[in-house]
Amino acid sequence: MQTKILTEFVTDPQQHRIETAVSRGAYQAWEKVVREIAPDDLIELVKKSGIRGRGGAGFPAGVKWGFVPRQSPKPKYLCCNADESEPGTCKDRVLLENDPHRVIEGMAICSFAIESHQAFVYIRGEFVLAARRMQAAIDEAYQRGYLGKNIFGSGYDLDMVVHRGGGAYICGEETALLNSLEGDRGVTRIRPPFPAVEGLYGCPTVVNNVETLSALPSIVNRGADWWAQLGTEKSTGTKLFSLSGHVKRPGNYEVEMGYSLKNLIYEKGGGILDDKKLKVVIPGGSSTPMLTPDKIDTPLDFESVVTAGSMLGSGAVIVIHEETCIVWVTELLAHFYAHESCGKCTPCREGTQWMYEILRRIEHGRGTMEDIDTLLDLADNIEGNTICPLGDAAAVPVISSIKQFRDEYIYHIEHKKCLVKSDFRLR
Amino acid sequence: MADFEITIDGQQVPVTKGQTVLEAAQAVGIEIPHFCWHRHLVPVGACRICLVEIEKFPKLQPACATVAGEGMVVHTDSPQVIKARQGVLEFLLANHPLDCPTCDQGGECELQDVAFKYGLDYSRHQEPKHRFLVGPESTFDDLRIGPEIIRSQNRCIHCYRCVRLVNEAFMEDDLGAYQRGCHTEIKPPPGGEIRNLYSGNLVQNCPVGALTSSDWRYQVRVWLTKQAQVICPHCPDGCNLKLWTYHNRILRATAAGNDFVNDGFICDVGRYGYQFATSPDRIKQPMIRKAGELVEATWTEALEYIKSQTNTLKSKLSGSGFFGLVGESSTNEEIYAFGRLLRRVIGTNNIDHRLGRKRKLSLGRQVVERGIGSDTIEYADIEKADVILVIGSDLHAENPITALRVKKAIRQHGARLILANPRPTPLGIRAAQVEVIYKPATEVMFLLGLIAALISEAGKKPEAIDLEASPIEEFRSKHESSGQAAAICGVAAATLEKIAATLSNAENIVILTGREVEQHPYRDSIYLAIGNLQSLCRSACFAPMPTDSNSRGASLFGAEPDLLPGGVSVDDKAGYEDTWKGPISEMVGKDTIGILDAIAEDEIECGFIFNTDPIRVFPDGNQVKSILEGLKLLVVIDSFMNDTARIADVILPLSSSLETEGTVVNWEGRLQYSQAAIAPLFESKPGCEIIELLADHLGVKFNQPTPTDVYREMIQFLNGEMPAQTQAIGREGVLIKSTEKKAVPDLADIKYTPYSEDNQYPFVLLVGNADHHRGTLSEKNDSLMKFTSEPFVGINAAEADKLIVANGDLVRVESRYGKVVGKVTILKGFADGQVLVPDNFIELCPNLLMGRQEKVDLVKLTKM
Repeated sequence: MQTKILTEFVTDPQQHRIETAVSRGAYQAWEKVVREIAPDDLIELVKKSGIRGRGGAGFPAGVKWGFVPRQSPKPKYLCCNADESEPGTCKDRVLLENDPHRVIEGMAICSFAIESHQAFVYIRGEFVLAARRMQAAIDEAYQRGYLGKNIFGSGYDLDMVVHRGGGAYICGEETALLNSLEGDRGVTRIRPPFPAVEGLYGCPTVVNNVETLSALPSIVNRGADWWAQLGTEKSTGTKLFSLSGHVKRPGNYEVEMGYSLKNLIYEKGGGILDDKKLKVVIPGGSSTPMLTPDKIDTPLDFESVVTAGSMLGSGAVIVIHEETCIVWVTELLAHFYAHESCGKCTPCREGTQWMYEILRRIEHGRGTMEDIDTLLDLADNIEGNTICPLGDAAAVPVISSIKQFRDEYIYHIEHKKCLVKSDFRLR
Repeated sequence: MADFEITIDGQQVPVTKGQTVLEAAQAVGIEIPHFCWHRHLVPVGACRICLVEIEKFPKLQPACATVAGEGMVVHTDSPQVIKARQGVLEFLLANHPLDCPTCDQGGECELQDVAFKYGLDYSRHQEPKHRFLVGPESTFDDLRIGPEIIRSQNRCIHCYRCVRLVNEAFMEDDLGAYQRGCHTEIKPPPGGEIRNLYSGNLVQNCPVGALTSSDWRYQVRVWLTKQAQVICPHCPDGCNLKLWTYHNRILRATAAGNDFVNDGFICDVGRYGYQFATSPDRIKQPMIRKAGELVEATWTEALEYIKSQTNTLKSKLSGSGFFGLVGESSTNEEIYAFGRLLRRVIGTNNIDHRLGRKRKLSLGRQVVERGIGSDTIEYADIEKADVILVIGSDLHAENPITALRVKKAIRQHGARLILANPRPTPLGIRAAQVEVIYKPATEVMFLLGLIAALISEAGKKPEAIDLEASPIEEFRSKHESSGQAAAICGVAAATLEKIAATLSNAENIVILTGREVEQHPYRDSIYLAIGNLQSLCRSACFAPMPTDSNSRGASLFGAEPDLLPGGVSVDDKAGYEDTWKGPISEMVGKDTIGILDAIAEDEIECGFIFNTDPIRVFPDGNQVKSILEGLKLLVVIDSFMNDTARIADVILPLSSSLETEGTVVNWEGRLQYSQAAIAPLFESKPGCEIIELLADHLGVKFNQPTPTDVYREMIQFLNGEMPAQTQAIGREGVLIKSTEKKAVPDLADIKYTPYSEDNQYPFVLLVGNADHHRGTLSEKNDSLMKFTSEPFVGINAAEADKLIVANGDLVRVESRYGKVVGKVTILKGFADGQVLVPDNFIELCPNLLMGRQEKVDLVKLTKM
């Protein structure tokens, strides 16, 4: 069973060069698209493949493209979201650094489908190598005529620009990304209007994740049916999982959707570090609810993880073993969200900071019993009441850790120290 | 008209398409609390206090940003909504300092009001409050972020209204948000200050006490003040101000919401420009010249003195030996009563108000016959226009609120602004689609080029214009082509063609001209050219902006020699004689220039000057002064000691416009009522009362000592329905429409005369407004002096290099008529051979440099 599709060649240090990439079939799909496929058929093809957005929300990519008004007199834009900042996630970076031509080809295919002539790739500020590789790859693609004017003699023009972010988590949220790209402050916009209708500079814009776009060349080459038969019925294809935390072999693993969490941790990851017992798994990046060991057999697809009480998110599986204080973990996450809140809407701006301060108090032995209920209530006041999902993301770890490990909180408050035996910390 | 209905709290609420839930609720009086929402801004849904429950929506929705859809069922007080609202309020108050006892906003604080109504009386927040400190040594967060604005970041609730107003409504960039999360701070860019012309609006629109202005800070509790509705006296925009007074002292001015006029905003000149009332220049009591010195006197002494002197002179001269000049910032009632005093009591038609303007005072016959410039344009028309053409006007500085309406049109439906000026203006950088800089005094040629381009554009699309082909052909044969015109006016032919294309595609064009055109030696030709432009466009209205706050009222209410109140010719005076119960002089009146000439020839020996300073505003001030010094009797009625008052024989202290009620007419022709904010200061008396006293002493009693009395008599001479009482004039005011526009038979023949250059005087003199100043009154306000404190002589860097001067060096500006000395300021984008002198400062009056001939003013510069 072939499961390495997107990451097939990433281990080759020469893959980022256009000669190597082209010798392995890069830009074949692009040529086929430009020469043979009409934009509408392309959208149909992607819809049929069933591929869902890999950025976290899991929205079907073809449907999203379909929202772009065809008859709009305004220019249309594609933004590739390469602002990968979710704690635990490092899958896009691999693609950007090691197989940039796949990303470019995917972006080109998407641009063609939505009839855009200008594509942007918004790269996280800290990804220096990725930005350099992408820029070099785009330059190469221009030289070979895969980008620029009159591509493959078809009359279709496409320009591609690399934009480096300034180091803000929030700019991974699509509307904040657009604001940042426009040169504004990276804060979220209220939706509707959705970017597909009114996005960059008020024009129809598609924002897609690096991984989603990288899958497109393979889908075009091998067909929608081939992709659809991979994975499960509703979550098709393969997915990159970034395995991190207390495992022996952390890293990026491309597996079919529906692969079991247990196998990922114990077979691909080689088991828990120091053969300790598993305490909790965060299956989809820091903003998804925690799963306890009894859910270890959950298949990793969008539906099953939701049934288990969490979300697949960006596919960042964070493994935490028994000797980790959950209050400390939650405090760390809360600090991250308080630090990264953009400050636009009230519940997130004030609430994330407040929750962090309470958690810090508890962790440092100055908590009270009322704090636990206050935390839950604050999280409830944030969740669902903010403009963008950052508020929800901040509330989720607090709610899920208290729900599942309330006793640890109580112990912390009563004894002013951690419940777990050792306070082994990965610092 | 309602398009459909939605249900809010069980109530059926009519909704027009596109309305948000919040707007629909507000319209029927259902209250939904809100902070970040502002009616002039795009909703951002940031504060989340307006969250409401809408059935079939999975989450609570911000009412401010949710467009109402047919059949929506909204709940504003469900348990879920109440919990979320209290949660948001708890968050907002968590880090708020709660320093209400020492906060200026107390009593008018939106956070206080919402917390009072919806909040809890306890907080679970036990953590130390997050504190912004101004510096490492500071324990305080007060930071001066502009000449008049102080920011207290700790009080800020991050509604971002201020930043959004600056960016969206004002199209400026001197305020922003820095850092993120709860560390977000509102600041000007590093090293900068917030000093845009609308900065005071940020203070007014801050829902809490985070932005306060230094004039109002720690003065008084707001609930102890009284408020008066006043029309701003600084420019013809006619903004509605609310003046907040305490014990007969004005403490601040805010914009009074009047969507017909100022739309909820005022400029800083209006906001801080109330301080002139207590200026040290105020004339405090009557004065009489005795043995060459002005000495203080009582009202009785002064009036008796005027009576005896006037009677002596009157027995020697007839009425024609007298004259009256009236300032254009006086109220209609004052102007009317003053005109009546001169025409009926003294017996002369020598009266005029046109002082700021030079040379030809009246419009030429051709312009009047064609009715050019008499279109009725309202603010609403500017808002609806798709192309706005501004010629010869620094609209931003001359009519700041009109400029804001232009920006609104641009923001709301992408109206295009075309600016044509001899120098770059702030509006050009901020908002113009095309900014044209023509060579000085080539307005006519620029317009001729534009007309030529428009004719060839019309040739492509003949249906675009209604004119017959023959007059167009005739015009074309006689005048320059766009290329020839372009060479003369210095505007590229391609630019002219671009503008012509924009104009010919537009449905709704508004043309505005400003001071540069108003005071231009070739004004008539410019007007005729604009008239031609109008004929060539589908729908173009043209309004020339008057110079002063009530210029239109002055010409409407009888302050021109040949026109009686209502614009009736003096020949038809019978009706007026009935009302005024006595004869009106038969003699043809003289205008300002005629009066000055007659004084010089000793035909006129006595004058009354009401609320103006001809020496300061009329061209060639030195000569005006020497002429006025030849008068036997000069009575000055004014609020401030000025150059004219200093040579007067009698001075009567006039209450300032803020102490007088009355009506004024703005540039639209909108008559508005202005209350008196405070009682007359010192021994001053309101204008109508002074005029009544004068009339009484000179032999006729009208028994109309108050503006209300005068108003009642005055309105009968106006066409159309007028409210019988000043109090009955509503927010909308009364729009005094001009007479019907006459049909234009053909294109007017236009003469372009190049100005004769003079090697001795190589610079063209341009006159404008300094930053945060307008007219001659702004200098008397301390707050405005913080923005620009002294006059300057503006030239470009190349000219400065030639003169070997740098910023701040002294230069002498000299013309054939006079000279002044000022500090150099180097201006960017300014053309060679031009010099800009602001006319807001008494130390450097550009009128001293001007001549009264129909010529372009030329000066030379010498390094001091």
